[in-house]
Amino acid sequence: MTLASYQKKAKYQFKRFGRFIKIFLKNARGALGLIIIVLFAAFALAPSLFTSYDPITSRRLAGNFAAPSWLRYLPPMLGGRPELSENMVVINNPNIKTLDSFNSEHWTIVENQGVSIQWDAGSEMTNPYGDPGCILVRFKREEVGRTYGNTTVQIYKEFTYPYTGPPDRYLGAVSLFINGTYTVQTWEIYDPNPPPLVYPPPKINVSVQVFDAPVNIYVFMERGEGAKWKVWPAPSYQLEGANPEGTFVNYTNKWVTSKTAFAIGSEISEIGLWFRNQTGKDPRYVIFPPDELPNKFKWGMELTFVDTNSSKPVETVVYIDDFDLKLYGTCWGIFGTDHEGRDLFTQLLYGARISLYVGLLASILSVVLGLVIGLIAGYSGKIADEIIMRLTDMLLVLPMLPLLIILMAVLGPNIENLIILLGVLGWMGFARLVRSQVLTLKERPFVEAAKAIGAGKVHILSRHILPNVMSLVYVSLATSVPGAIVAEAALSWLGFSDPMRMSWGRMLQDVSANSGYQCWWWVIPPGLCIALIAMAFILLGYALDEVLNPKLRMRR
Amino acid sequence: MGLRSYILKRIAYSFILLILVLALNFIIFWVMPGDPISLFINPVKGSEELRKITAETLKKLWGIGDPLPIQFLRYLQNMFTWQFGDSFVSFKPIASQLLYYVPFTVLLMGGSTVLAIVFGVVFGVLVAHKRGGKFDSSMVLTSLIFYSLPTFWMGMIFIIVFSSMLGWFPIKGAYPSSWTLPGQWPTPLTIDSSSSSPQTLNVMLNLNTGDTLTLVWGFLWHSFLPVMTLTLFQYGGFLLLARATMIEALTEDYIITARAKGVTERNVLFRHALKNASLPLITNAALSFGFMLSGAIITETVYTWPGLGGWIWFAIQNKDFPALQALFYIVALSVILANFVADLLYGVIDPRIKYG
Repeated sequence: MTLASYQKKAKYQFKRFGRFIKIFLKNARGALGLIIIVLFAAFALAPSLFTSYDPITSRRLAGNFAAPSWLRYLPPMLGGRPELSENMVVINNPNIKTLDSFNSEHWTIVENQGVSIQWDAGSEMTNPYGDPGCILVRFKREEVGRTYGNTTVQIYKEFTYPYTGPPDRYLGAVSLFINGTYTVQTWEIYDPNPPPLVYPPPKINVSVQVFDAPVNIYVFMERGEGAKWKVWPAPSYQLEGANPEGTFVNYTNKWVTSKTAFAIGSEISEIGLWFRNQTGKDPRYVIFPPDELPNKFKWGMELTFVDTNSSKPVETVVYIDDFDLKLYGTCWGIFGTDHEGRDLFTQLLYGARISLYVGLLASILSVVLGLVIGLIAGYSGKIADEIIMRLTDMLLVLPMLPLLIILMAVLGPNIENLIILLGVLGWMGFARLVRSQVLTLKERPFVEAAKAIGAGKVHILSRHILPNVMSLVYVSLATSVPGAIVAEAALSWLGFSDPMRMSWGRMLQDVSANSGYQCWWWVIPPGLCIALIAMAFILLGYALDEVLNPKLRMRR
Repeated sequence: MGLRSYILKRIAYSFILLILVLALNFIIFWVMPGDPISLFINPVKGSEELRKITAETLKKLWGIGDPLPIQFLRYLQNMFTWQFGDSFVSFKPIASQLLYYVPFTVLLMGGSTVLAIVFGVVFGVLVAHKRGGKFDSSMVLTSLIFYSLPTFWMGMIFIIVFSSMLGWFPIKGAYPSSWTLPGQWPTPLTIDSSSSSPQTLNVMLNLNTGDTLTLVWGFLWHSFLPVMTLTLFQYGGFLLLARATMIEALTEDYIITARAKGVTERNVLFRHALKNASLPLITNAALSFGFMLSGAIITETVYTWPGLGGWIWFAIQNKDFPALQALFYIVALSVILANFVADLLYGVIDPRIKYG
């Protein structure tokens, strides 16, 4: 054929398709189904357009089990919850790389005799993470013969907490490096790791560099005027180089960090437990009691330099870096968060991807299998037909879900395995339909005519019979999608989900596994999505059936 | 071909199908990777020899070491004589376990299937009668919605709403958990044998009305939510099918004749039209009843129902192959039986059917 005739043909096909779409869209149910499917397909194809998070790895976006944030603005009569709080970043630039970023935080500095607090670029030694800049607190006494005694300074940031309910948790962090003049003290102790079979154990010399002016440091949180709590370090946790009271006495040449950020709230942490033990209350409600909110808060650090050695000039320098506070809210996004603080809206979007992927591929596979098997059974001889139909019956009487689960357990919880299994176990009904259609088609005059002019089996099947069953294929493609989608959801809900992918069934599995039943915004959307998309495909299938197979239902 | 040879032919077909399914069932579990014996041998404790001996005993006990044809024959014999052997996991006879769990599942699935068929067919007939109206489209839409809702999600929502929030129904189980305490199970019948002597066996059965009511009420109360879930899930299919076949039947000439004779509309619908439209419904109902035993795994898991579903789930998780084999056999058997019954019913309802 020439290129021109190809073009003509393509043009004709295109026109035909356009006419078909026109007729199809007149069918209201079909149009509704198509709209829903297109919507979900958009979510599935480009979820990153709608969300910037990952459904599985983006943890701790807000508090755990956070509610949708629009609930804040709803009147309480309609189930609104005005006490919900949003995420709040108190310190904008915790790693203060430049003087400007330090100034922009508006720290309140309470200085005292002999102490200066300022931003410092820091040297290589004092910047272990490679980022320059820190807060430098320097205590310096040059005169000899007197001491300054206990000198206390504070650096804090004031902020207003605008919500009427506590945050889900707060996360603070700090890194400290302490340097200064020190005296070396040496004494003898028994070797703590003695060589075996030596008694008495040999003695070794231990030398410790003791600061001339040790410094006591703690992080505090203050509500309003006077209600003040030490929040770090936890009293039960002794830091390196510090004594149990939290005073840094020894030079260690190491950064002291609040390794995992210290949290108070829904997450269990050392300081949170200590708070709970001290007050017997949920730590969230100790610092943020709802009847005292909204309120002004101070987040800061208090340093007390203990200067007792008057015999020489002393200097102690404290480098403070990564001093941070984040308040994680009790509400987030459109649908809130799950038990790990992951965005539920993102999970819904990515769930559409899995559902459509599984549903479409499994239905294509099963329909193609059913078509081929049905054509063979219907058109070839009696023996082949009989064998194929007994095989079909055999598969039809087995309980599908247990079989699926067993085979999934054997093959491994992988989405591709599931698609193959759903396809291989789902062709029987369609094969029967095609076979019965072929049985009547092959007695029709046009097939006889084709035979009479000497057409081969393959030609008759592909040119005369296949076009006549294609309408069934389209309908079956649409109507077998919901089964696959629901099967995938059921398997995921039972725990056979691909660990690398989030699906709607897995979201519901998370609900049951973490008893999130009270969060309706977590339970309802995935189920509704499954139902919506399943229904959309059923509607589409019915509409296709009405448009494509008018002959089959002439008498209506 | 007469009715008798038709029945004989169906029986032969069913039997062949049964043998084929049994073979498939055998093959599925034979090719399954994962050696169940290794589950029962501690790889750390004991000597190498002891482990070997244990493995040998287990192999002999379960007949795993024999050549394949002998294994297959023994398997066939066992299946036909209902000797399913002992479970790999609990070492209890599978047949007795099945007998314990099956009634619960039959109560759940049987009840909901019957309800679904009744509701589905009745509403389907009514909807077909008034097709095109608002009633029709709303019923079709709701049944489509329930048909496409996943059962586990429906169950979760029902538990949240009716059990947790409203407190109307229990959260789980098939009966009050207090019944399992010793002496607490309601006894509807007591045997009074005090007056009987060894010579004259004179046993009195006493019906305890109060206990009977407690028993029935306890089961009804606990089964309400799961039965409702399954009914809602299943009725949509029957409604749509009944509607489709009824619409077809209502266009037939004999309907016009019947109306012309002055037959009441109810009789036209349910006597004339429904009878002719019922063949696909019977096929579907037979399939529903056939898959009754395995059809409620998910619903039973949601409601912690002590039926076959939970047992299957446990067996799958523990690779309890004999139990699963028995289960597949029983499900296949009941489906084949249900299909057979449906075939016979065809002959009874529609005498036009050519036997054969």
